[in-house]
Amino acid sequence: MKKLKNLIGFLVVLTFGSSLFPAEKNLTLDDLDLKTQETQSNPQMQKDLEKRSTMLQWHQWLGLGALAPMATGYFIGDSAGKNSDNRNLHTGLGIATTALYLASATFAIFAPKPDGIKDTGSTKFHRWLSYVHFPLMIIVPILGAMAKQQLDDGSRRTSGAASLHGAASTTLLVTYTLAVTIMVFNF
Amino acid sequence: MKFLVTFTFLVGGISHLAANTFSVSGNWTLKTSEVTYTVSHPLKTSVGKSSKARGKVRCGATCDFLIAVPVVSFDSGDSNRDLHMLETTKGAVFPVITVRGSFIPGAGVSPLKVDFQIEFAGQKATVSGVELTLSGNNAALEAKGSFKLKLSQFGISKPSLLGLAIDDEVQITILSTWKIAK
Repeated sequence: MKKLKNLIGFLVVLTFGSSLFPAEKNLTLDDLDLKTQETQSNPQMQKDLEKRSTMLQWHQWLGLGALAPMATGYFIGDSAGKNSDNRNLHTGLGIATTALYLASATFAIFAPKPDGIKDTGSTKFHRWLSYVHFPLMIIVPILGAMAKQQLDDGSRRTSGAASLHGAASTTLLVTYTLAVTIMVFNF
Repeated sequence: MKFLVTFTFLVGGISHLAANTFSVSGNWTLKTSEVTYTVSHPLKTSVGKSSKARGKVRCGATCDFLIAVPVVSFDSGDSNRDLHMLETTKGAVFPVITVRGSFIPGAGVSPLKVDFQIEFAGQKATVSGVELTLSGNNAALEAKGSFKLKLSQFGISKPSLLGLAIDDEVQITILSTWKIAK
């Protein structure tokens, strides 16, 4: 009788064992109460982020490229008022600066950015500074052209709005250099 | 027999105290956490933090644990750097970093040495012998530890700034508190 009981018990365990005593499942993400949006794959967003990175790399290199003619043009600015050859070089550097700057700015403006992301940290200050140097980058060449016209016409000194070319250029160089530097080093 | 049980109990208890063992059994849920990464670039060092990790420890014959951190939850204090990190780690396609491991229940000594099986950026790699310092009691537990992982282990291309790439090694620090699961 005892043997029969054991046999029945053995058969019951053999038949229903796995359901009576289920093996411990491995822990999965479902056990962690993560929100759906936290675990959902978004290949389109990945593509946008890759495009953004490529565009910001171009923004970085063109932006650095603009700094060289901008600084050189600034430092020969004084002599440009006295010497027509230097004036032409100064003008050329100004044109190169404007072209590189606008190309760099275009990449930054059109780089895709995920919705709902607010600028923080150095990026926030970089953008704030652009609100100063971007309009200056339009105004400075216009004032420069006006100043060149006056000097080419024989004036010894610039007058009117053209006389602000130097001060505007200083503000442009300072804010632009700060915008570049702030992205490179921690402050 | 009675003597043997008493002796085993006493010796077990004394050695438990002497070795500063920490007993972990049952099921645990991650209550609070701070996971930090530190990346080094020749020009600067950046630190990103997340407090959005979730985790569970389930103890049977072994204690298995699973910790998951959404990649997007790391905040380095700069939005552009965070988006770039998300891109290089393929965080939009593989949005969660998981850490799995196991240890023997009940007899855990602090520091506890565990192997982390990490799934990150769609790749799996093991970081062996991570030391976790444990403290607490039978209802609440604090675990902290740090280790280094290599971006190349996970097929992640190193981001660069001004043509200079960051170090391949990234320091990871985990501070966590756990509560016993109801």
